Amino acid sequence: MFQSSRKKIIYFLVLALPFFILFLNQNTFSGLRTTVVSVSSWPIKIVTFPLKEMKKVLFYRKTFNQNKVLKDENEILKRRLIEQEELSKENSRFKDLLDFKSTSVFSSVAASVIGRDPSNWSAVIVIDRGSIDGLKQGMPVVSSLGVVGKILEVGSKISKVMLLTDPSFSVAAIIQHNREQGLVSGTLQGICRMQYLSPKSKTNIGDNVITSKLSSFFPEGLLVGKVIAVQDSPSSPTIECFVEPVVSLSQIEEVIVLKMPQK
Amino acid sequence: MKKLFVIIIFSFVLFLIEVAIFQIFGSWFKPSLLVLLVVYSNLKFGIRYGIATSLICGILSDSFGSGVFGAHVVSFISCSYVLIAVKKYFVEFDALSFKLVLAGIFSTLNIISIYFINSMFLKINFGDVFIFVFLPEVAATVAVSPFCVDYLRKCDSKLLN
Repeated sequence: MFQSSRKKIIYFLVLALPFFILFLNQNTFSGLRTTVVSVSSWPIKIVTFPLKEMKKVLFYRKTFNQNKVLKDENEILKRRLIEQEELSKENSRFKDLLDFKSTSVFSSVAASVIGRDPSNWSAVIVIDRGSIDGLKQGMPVVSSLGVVGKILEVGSKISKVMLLTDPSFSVAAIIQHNREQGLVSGTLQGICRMQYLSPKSKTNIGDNVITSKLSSFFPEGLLVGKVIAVQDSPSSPTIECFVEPVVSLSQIEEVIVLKMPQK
Repeated sequence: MKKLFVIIIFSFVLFLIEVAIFQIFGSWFKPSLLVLLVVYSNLKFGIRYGIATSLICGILSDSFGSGVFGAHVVSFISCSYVLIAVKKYFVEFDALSFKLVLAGIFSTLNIISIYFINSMFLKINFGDVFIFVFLPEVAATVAVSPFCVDYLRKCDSKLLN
């Protein structure tokens, strides 16, 4: 009888201990987490490599057509860039005249996506750069199109990136055309929700959402996505809208980490 | 010791398959192979190895996610206990319908427990969980369960003999 009750206590403790861990500071397990991800990253690279290559062959035609379109677009952009450079030079001359402080340009690191969290509960990717490359927790991760996410945990050679669509992610943002402030957060749906917009704001479907200067992690003016639906907030006298990220997060393979000093 | 080694290999291989499946099918076909492994090792090797499997699978899942660390560990261990509690009522272990029902019940149980744990720390919409987590995961897990369990059985008989 004594042995039976001892067994029950052990089984109870086996369940109670992990439950107790839930309430501890999550940074305590950061080392364990990054070690597990680091150890798993090599087999993941090996398993996913042929799949990625197969995908490239299967989507050859689509890529070919896309390449054609992009080449044309590139030509137009090159011409615009020359115009912009002229304007930028002119602008800096004016700034010098007005004695403005020059804005710092962040250095950046390009990284490849080597794995993804397979569960539906979170949106996390693993990239092949870590603290050796100067990455730190909270650094913004972007692509050529716009915001991708932010660095969640850093190992020596790998890092975990929390994507824009993760339920724990949030960033201060504004609607580009009317400068209305709000908070963009992730949802389980794979899109984002922008909350706390004033009911008087004229927000329309198709409006661009960009990062705000109130954001502690992101530089101002990065494109987050486009508004796809506007509705009244059920919990507060504000309106909220759904934002589709401009970056295709399920397809992304390369990202840029901005080495931005944290506020 | 040999059993523990087999469990570690199974956990790791199934996790890699989950990651690889995501690369191909995206978010609408995400079977929880680790739940199937937890159920399988509890039935095949008993509660001690079931708990060991739950720990390994839970740590793997929690390490890659952004959620609270330990959520999957608690959820898998809870599934192990429920399974052991109801094990004596099982009659037919090999029937296809039994595997399907078991996969459905335990992937549902897993999602419910993770939902309750996550909602203690995060604001999560139940409707979103039902449509974007529950439906794709349970349907995919039930669909792959007969193949997965058969392969696990074949592999473990080869590795342990």
